[in-house]
Amino acid sequence: MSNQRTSQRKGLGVPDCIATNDRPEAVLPARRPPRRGNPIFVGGVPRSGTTLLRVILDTHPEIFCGTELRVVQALASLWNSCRDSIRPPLSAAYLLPNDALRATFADLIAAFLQPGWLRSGKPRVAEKTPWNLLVFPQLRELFPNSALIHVVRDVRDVVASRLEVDRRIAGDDAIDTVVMASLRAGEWVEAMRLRLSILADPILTQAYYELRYESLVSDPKSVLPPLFEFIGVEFHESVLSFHRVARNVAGTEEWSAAKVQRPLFTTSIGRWRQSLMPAELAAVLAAAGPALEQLGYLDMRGEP
Amino acid sequence: MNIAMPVVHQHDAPGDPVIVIGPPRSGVRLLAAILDGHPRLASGPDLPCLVTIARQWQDFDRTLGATHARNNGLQPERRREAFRATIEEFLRPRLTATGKRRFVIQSFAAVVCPDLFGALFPQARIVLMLRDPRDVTASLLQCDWHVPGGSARLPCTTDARLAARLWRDSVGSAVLQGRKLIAAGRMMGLRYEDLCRSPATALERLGRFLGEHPAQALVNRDSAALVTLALHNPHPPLQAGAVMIDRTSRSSTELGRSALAAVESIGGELMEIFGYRAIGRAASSRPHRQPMRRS
Repeated sequence: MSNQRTSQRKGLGVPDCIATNDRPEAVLPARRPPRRGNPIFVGGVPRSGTTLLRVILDTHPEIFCGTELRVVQALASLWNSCRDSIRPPLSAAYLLPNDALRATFADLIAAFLQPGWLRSGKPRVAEKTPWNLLVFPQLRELFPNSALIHVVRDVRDVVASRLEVDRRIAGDDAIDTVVMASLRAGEWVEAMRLRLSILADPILTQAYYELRYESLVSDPKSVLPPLFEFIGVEFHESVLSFHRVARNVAGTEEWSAAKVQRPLFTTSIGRWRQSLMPAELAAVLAAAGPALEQLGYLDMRGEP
Repeated sequence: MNIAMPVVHQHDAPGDPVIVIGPPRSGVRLLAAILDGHPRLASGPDLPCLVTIARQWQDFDRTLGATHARNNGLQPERRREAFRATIEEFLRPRLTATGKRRFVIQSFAAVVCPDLFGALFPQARIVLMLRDPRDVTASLLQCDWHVPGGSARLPCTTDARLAARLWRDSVGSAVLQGRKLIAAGRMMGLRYEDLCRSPATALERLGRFLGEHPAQALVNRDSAALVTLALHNPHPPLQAGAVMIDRTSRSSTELGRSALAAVESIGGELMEIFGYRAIGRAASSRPHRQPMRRS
């Protein structure tokens, strides 16, 4: 896995071997660590390893990352809609300058982060809920010095894992897994489209850090130091002992709760080979094939 | 149900808003403009997003409240305070600029959820504006309101039955969702007709309910312009000056026989509860128009 060193040049935490040319290098600014005390937001398509990253961050002595709040996406979207509805002449009538509501809604989100964070006594706070990803652009506006961490995983493994959850919720025979595989792959594709729009935005890229699940579990000692450097805290090897730390893993509210109580394992890489039926795999590739290739996953695995 | 006469004799803590709700064309803006002229009260245009914020609070409370308390140490009261503070931030600049003490939130959308605002602001007073649904319908049918972003007119402005249903559903929801507030003396109904015909009496009663000196039955030009501002579907201009009554009982001349019958049929029991007797087109038992003296 030596070829999975993080690209310092790009400042995105993307392993060189899967770095692709979809990132317009010319617009990428130099990495600028966010100020201490500003929140870290972790997102990604569900079943991409966001819970693993959560417990790793939370194990760091300077970062608190509690269980999923599941409010950030709604609140950032609420800010968006409120901002849109407070335009002249209403903004003038209420004496609200354009930027006035930004701080108000940042405070609202912070109110949700604070109880656990203050109790932890740690200087930094992180919030992980997978679909935070969808509001990364808004979060960058609300918290100009925040860090936005996107965990990316091979869509085939994502779909294999999500189908397992879907079956657990709905029952084995209650879902058409081929249709679901296509739907789940479609969500992943949408997330990757958002990723491209983030990478095309020079302001957003300053706050954005991309982490591949496969690299994280395969070579954490190479992958994690640059991540912590980006966040602005010193890397501690103790974070790799995340599974030894007693913490609230929120039971069934986080599907990966049991898995993050074990040391890192790599058996989930390529799990789709055992889990996905040919028709399900075909549905995934039909929906997500080009994006998968663009991200380097097909090349990396030598898949057709 | 005595929605008309709850009376309190207390001054609310500064910052507890007054919330004026009601179906469109029921006098919500008129009352907001009158109260904006009060030395302690300030109002502004309808901000539908305040209802969206309140609903988000309710949604989190219902779906995530227990999880947040258990996993994140976030107690319901803290969550309420956060959302309350968010709404207050919309109102604070204008309150500060005017030097007044309480904000008068006017809202059509809140007519279906007065309980939400009552819970977010435990000392708030809520006023439900009521107007004869026949007059509301006649007024709505003259509004040139369109579907946002489209050219089609809003159905409630083209069809008397839909206008009447809007009135019935709005008032019905307000009474149903506000029943605990009514019982607690924190929500009152105010009839547009009473406000127009006997403004001094109506505003005296309102003043007691709000714990404030009565407002003058007067709309100043700035307040009239302020409260009618809207991003979409501008409201008909509000006449500045003394409160007038020439918009009451308009339905007798503006609605056709079948439309009048339809509205009365739809308004049904709610009309009776609030003293609007079904009369058809034969005669009007409602008080006839009389000139108003300027305050």
